[in-house]
Amino acid sequence: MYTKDKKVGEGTFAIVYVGRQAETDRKVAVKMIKVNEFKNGLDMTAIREIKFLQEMRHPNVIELLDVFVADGNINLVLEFLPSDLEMLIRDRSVVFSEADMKSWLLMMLRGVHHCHRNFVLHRDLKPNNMLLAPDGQLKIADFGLARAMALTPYERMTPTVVTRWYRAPELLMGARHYTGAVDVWSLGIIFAELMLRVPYLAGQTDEEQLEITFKALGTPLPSQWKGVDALPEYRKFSTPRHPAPTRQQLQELFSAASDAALDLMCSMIIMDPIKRVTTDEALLAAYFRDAPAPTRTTELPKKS
Amino acid sequence: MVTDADLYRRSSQYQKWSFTKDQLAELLAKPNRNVPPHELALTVQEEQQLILYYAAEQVKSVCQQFKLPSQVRATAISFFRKFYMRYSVMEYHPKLILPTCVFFAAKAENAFMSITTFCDSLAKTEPSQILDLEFLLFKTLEFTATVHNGLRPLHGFFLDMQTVLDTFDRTELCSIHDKAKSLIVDSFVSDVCFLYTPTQIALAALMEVNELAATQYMAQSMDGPNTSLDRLLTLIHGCRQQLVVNLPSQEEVKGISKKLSRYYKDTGSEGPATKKQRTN
Repeated sequence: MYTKDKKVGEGTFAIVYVGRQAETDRKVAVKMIKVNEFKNGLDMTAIREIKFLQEMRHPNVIELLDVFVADGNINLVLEFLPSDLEMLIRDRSVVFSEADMKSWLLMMLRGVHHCHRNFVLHRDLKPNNMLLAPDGQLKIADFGLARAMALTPYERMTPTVVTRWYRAPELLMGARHYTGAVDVWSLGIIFAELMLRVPYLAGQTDEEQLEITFKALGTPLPSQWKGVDALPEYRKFSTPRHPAPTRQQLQELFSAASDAALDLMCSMIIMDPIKRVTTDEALLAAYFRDAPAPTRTTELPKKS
Repeated sequence: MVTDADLYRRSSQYQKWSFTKDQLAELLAKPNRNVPPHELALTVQEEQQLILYYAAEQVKSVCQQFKLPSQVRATAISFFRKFYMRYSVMEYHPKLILPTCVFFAAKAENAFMSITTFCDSLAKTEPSQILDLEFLLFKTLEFTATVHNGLRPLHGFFLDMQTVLDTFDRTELCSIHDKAKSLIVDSFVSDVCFLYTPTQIALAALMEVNELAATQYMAQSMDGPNTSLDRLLTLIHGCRQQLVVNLPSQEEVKGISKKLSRYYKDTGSEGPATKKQRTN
């Protein structure tokens, strides 16, 4: 059985407590789902979270230890993960080496690769959903927006997913069909943020987000991205046309990045989702073979 | 190296909801034994007939009414059948469990509709009845909501067959695919989903639709030093034989339904599914 010791957070559909597993005294997080508060019954977000966490078992995905019912509420018992990547990025007293960033990116890619292999799109990858275990392992959390990949291109999907700054251009332009490439984009942007230590593309509105994205990476043309002009929001943003950045401009912005790091980042944020690398390809990138080797998880920087 | 087969073996569908034939027979019969003896009590046989009828005909009609995709129908049938592995129709009437399964499956498969929209179009169904049962349903499913079906492997086979089989043109293969697809969705009514993997079910459906195409395809792409085509074929034939079930006749269903109504009346249940959760 489990104890709920202290309330640590409350969202629209759940209250999170820190607690312990009685037999082992292991520290756990207990997420209590509010059951009776919604007009339409169990909340979709909660159902998705439970549905996908039940299936995902991977060192880089948060582990669902148990589900129990108490007082008519559903309680999810999750591993207790005290910090996240966003906290570290914002903590200016912590210095990241290239090997550290490589280690985190590798763990993120492995976790997302596992999701995609299971035909699951996460759809909300961002630094504060990358939780960090005391032993340095990175664990992808929050499957409240996840869904199964579409079986055919005819299945309509909603483009209003992913936190704005990490949202791929096809989503910003209102695509009704998309793939794992949306998650790869988010990881590419998180990679950029690890290097810059500030959000890379930080729009204040959805419209501004698309403008900033095009300004930074170039306005895509139908000759480079077949069919982009058929996306609902393309026309509005196709002029003025921003040129793609030169390699030199990117090197100036990401001044500490190696060539291999820049190559991998660029391949993850190619505008055309079909040309963007997959997680399989990204994991085989030269970046991960080149020195320095990724930092061992136990030796990664921790929050000061 | 983690193979795709390893991944499937880690799924809740394999871990919690896949059985041997004997295990399944025992699970299906057990809820009936838990009901106290009564002269109007349904037999296991009668229960199964009624469940089959609801799973096939009623789920289809509700899903058609709301134009829900076939994926939702497959998942709803799966939820419905799993529910009655734990409870008897004499404890919870299928009339209410069925719409609850469809409503919940729509949520689980990204085809959400509001409870008022849903109930407005269904006769004699109150939102509160469904919302009360939704939690019990999810709990009975042991909080697992992923239902793997043969549609994904079928799609893969369909793409692959277009390159491997040069004796069939694309129109023929499309028609084979479409027929196999509806067969797979209908097969959720049968026991195959609790006994075989989605890939095996997809192959069995192809075999049922066009034996020649399926056999040729399997011979050309699944025979090799490390696989035994003969063993695979035997397995697929076993699955194929159980793919299509014989539904009870209208009269039979009517008879059983009447008996069930009399049972509810006689045992003093106020109506279907108003009883509180069983505690054991």
